[in-house]
Amino acid sequence: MDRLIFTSLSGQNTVAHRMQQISNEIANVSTTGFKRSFAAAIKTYRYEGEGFSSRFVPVLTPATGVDMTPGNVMNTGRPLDVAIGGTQLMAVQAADGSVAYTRRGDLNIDANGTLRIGSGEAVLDDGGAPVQIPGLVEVKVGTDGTIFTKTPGEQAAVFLPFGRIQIVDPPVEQIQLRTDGLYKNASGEAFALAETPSVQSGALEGSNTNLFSTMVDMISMSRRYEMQVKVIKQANDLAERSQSLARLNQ
Amino acid sequence: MEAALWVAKTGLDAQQTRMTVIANNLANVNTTGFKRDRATFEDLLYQNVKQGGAQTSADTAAPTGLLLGTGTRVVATEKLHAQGNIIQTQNAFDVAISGEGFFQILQPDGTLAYSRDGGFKISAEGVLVNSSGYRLQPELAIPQNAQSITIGADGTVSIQTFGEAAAQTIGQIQIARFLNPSGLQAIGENLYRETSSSGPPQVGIPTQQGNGQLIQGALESSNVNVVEEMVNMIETQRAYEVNSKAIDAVNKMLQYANNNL
Repeated sequence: MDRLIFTSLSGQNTVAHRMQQISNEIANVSTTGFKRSFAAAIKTYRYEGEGFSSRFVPVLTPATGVDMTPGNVMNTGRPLDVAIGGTQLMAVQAADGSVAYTRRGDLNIDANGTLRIGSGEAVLDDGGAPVQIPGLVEVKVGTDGTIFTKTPGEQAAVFLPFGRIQIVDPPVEQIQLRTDGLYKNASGEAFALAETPSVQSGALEGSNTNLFSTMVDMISMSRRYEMQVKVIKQANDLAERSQSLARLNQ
Repeated sequence: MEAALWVAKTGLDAQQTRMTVIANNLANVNTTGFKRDRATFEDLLYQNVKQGGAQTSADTAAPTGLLLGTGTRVVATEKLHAQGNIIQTQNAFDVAISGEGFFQILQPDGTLAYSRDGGFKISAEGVLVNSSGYRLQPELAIPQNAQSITIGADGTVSIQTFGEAAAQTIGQIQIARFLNPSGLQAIGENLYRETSSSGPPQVGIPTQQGNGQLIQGALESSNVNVVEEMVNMIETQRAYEVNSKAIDAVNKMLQYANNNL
């Protein structure tokens, strides 16, 4: 009897994990450049031991990575909002100083002229150094990530190329989530530069959470959970029956 | 299971904050020189359930890790300093800035604040003040015998007095620019205060060094786009609903377990 309960309990635990994942996707429905993780696969392991080989315990196994389906691109008209094309990523300097990658393109220039994304990380250029905008200039981002600046006081409206945002185009399966929500290369190395970087200025990429499929997932998980509860209830009933039998025999 | 409840709760909190931002934008749709805010979302730290690259046997390693997200938060509200519409008012003391820059306003506590609201008035002492009565800097005194006043695109203020053919220059309006105007702290009354993230003000003459130009007889309206805010509001409302649905689902699951076990 106890085996039945614990097998069912491990099933409940995986549902709880999956529910947290679903809640996180829904909570981040408004996060710029958010990508949902693939549903964690649930694998079953057979428990060896006495009796019939009927104990299969579901265990949550690592998800296969980040779902790089593009989110909605929203037009904002702000020159420093950029949406990154395809499954390309933009290089930023994470809080711990390491190179990380992101899809969020809500850029800002801070008081020291450093170009930063909305969550605060500095944007890196082709050479791997943080992008420094010199003084009060007008800034534009080109379709290949080139930053153009216009010096104040210039009479002619000339935007001169100043540097280029580091855009990488890694194979999707190499992209791995970090605990701070940025991405890294599964092998730990830096990604190579994209051959054809694609950046759209004046737009932002929204979250790629698909509310419909997430809701359906949530319903299916709720039902699965109820089934597990039912199994535990059955086990309890069975135990009660056998105990009442034992009482009869006294 | 409780983790899912709290994760969905962060979503409710964040959408609520966003709704406040949208409501404030809509409330200020007629505020002169108002710049709309945008709530910036960020995902919270992920829980590392299983480390990617960890050894699964002597010769094999897990190809990826299992990271569970813990929700979202509003990391910042960002002022979008896009140009608002220039509305002609024909009032000589209304001045709009077309382009970059802020008027410098002296607050009662003696510190400087910055504003895009150019609806100036003349105080009892004859100096130019904003709607709250705070003085424009550098101070501009209008002589009593002035018949008409002209403010040029570069901020030069000149007056015409009775019986004199030539106009007389009495001062110059200067404007301040910031490297990161989004970093300015909005303090109400259409004023902004300098912060360490905005950088120091760089005061200059309008139309020079990339500064905006002044337009007399006009005001800059709020840059809130009502339609866009409406769409944002619908999106926020639906996102809020789905988050509460997630809480409801988890609640029902726990309830089911409670009732049946």
